[in-house]
Amino acid sequence: MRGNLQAFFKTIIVQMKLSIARPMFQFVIWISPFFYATITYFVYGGQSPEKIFHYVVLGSGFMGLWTSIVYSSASDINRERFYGTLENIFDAPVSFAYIIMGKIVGNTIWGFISMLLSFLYLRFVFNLEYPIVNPLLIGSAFLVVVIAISVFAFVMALVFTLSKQAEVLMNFIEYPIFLICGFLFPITILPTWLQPISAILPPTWAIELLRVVTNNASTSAQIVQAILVLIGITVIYVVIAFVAYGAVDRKARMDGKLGVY
Amino acid sequence: MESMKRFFRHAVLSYKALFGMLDPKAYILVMLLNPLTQMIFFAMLVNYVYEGVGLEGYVASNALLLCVMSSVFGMMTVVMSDRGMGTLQIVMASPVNKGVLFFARSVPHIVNGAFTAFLGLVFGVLIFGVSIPVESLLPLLCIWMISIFSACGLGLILGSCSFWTPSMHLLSNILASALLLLSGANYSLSVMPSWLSDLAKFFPLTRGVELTKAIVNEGDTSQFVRLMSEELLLGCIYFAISIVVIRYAEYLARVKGTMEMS
Repeated sequence: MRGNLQAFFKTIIVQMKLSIARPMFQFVIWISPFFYATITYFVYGGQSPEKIFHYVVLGSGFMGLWTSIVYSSASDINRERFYGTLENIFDAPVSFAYIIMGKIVGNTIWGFISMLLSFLYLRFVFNLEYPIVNPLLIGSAFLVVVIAISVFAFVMALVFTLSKQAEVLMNFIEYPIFLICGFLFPITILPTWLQPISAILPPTWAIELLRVVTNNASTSAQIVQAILVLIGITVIYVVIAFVAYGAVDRKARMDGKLGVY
Repeated sequence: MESMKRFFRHAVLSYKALFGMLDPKAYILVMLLNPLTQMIFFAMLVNYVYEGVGLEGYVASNALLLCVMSSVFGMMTVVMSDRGMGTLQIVMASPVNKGVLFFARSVPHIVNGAFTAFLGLVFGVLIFGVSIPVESLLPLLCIWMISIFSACGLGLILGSCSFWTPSMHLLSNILASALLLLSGANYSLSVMPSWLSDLAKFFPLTRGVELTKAIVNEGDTSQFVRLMSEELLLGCIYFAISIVVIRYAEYLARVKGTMEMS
């Protein structure tokens, strides 16, 4: 257990260094937040400050976070396969799950840095006003969001472990999540058949939690409800992750095609 | 006549080489479904924010923007795919005219960009229930072909950078994002600071988006000749620059020995 945890924390540091060395990831972290924020601000420019905060500041920040996950956590498995190291880390004495989770947490930290950059850019370049919120509350909300997004990314990474089309899928899942999870508009405007899909995806509830927490009109009951919903859906994804991990582990060993690119 | 045949034969072959090895579902996901979800996302956004005002123009403009997948990322592969396969030195050492060769490789991407854009328009019409006047289809076709030609010219300038640098994903994503930002597909150019809207005039697709909105929303073709002449001129300048840049890049790659760098 101690060895696994040590590997987990070491992986976070190594992954953060490796990820940011890639030019594409540099674009995702240092540049894309400015494009997302600017485009969204131009679209929402004439709207109320509350809408601008919820959809421009939080929405574009979340777009940056999601993009960082798509081009890192979801694709790291494929990258290891390409380097020829996937089988090595899969069969290493340290659990594969700890390695993957370490990679995901490392990438998610970068994602939050890009989100922070977006917040600062909009605050100081476009002079947007941000609501004053309880630091403990927003800190707790962000912690729950980090865990929820990391668990979701873990499930995706497992799916991508088995797919030979991981790179194609990686390029495909960016905009559908922006759309379905309501990053830039409420999910109530989506077609009714699409809304149940939104409801089962953690990013939908993660951004909703941040919107509720940063809304001064929110009641305590609404905040507690938003936190509980996100924790609840995260627990469900943890169960899915455990089951899927076992299935992936078995299938990879039986098929023996893990490293086939 | 033989040289024309060779030109088109090379265009078709290079395109087949690029996508022939892929699974059809990879092509559908990357070149069709991915751009379509982008179009639906932005159309949903502007429909919500502007409460349906001018939706037809925004749907059509976002459909035009789908050509970025071909004109930036596709054009990038015109040079980069050879480098990846280790055949770039052979291509560059061949006696063929490089300008003609790379332009031939660009043609399928121009056609593919137009195909994706029109498919986006069809999906936009079906999903959002907007109507595009039949009489505006021919001007739209003309505007889009010229705009995509121009965008591919800029894409080829970018593609020539792959002689120097392996960071093409960084550069191509910056260009694709810049086109989305500067084209004004999702807002009026008047919301931008003046220096940014002035900068937008030097980029492709800005005029195409402006005309698309004017024709689809108001049936206004009064600016057609002026804006399309400017866009065509811009495209020709881009292609001329790209040929010069490719020659210079080839020279640098020979001198620095970076042609096989990956």
